[in-house]
Amino acid sequence: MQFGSRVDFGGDYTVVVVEGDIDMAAAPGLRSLMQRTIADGNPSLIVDLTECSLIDSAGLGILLGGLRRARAAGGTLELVVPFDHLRRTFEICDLDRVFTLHASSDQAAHAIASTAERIA
Amino acid sequence: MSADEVILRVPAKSDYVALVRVVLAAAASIDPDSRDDRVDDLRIAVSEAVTNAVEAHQLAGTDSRIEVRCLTDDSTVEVTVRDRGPGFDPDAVPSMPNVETPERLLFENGLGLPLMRRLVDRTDIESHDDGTLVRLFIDTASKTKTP
Repeated sequence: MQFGSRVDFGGDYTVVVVEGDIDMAAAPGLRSLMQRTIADGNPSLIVDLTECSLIDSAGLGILLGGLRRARAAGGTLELVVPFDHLRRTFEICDLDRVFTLHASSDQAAHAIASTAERIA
Repeated sequence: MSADEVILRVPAKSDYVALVRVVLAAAASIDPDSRDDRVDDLRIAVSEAVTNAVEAHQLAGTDSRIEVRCLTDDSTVEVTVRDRGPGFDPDAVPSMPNVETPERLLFENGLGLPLMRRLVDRTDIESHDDGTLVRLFIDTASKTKTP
């Protein structure tokens, strides 16, 4: 399935919805999208993988870099991964200990709000 | 059912990784006993193997094609990916920092080989200075390996 993405700008966070497969062909596009979004003053991202059919190590690496950049800009990166087949890829690589894998974007938004409250 | 073979020779370009995934997943799904989750495992493992091959060809500056063979015998699938890159030592892959440390976020690469090995039942890698041969074995009728 071909990679696609769209960005929904909100108040305290920005949602990046990813569609299709995130592999070495799609990874550069996702990286530059997240870099641009953070550089434009939106350091807290929700990357929604509900419509993502496959993620391999190239995609996982991009998300790690995205989390690093978001934190460096004073924000964070939360993931929406509702389906088991995708969660398994994160778990095999122990990345479920790096990211919280939320079941919905509402849960991810709540996590960002909680983090903001803690910092304030 | 006798063994069936599918052979692909694809350009070493990132856009062709998806093509290989689609063809091999379709070949592996022909067996009525194949499980969707195991075919998903195969798709990712193949993606890793072909990605490594594309990167190896780009590193070597060669425009030769990557050869992918898929041998299916009932639910048993053997995939072979052969590249003409500079080779590497599969046992010398650097270890990662602990996942719960900030240093882990500095490493965006290096997940491919461990992921590939965990997804399939067996992985054989032969690498020399004129190329690498990766063999993946998976029984698509068996249960998924737990993380």
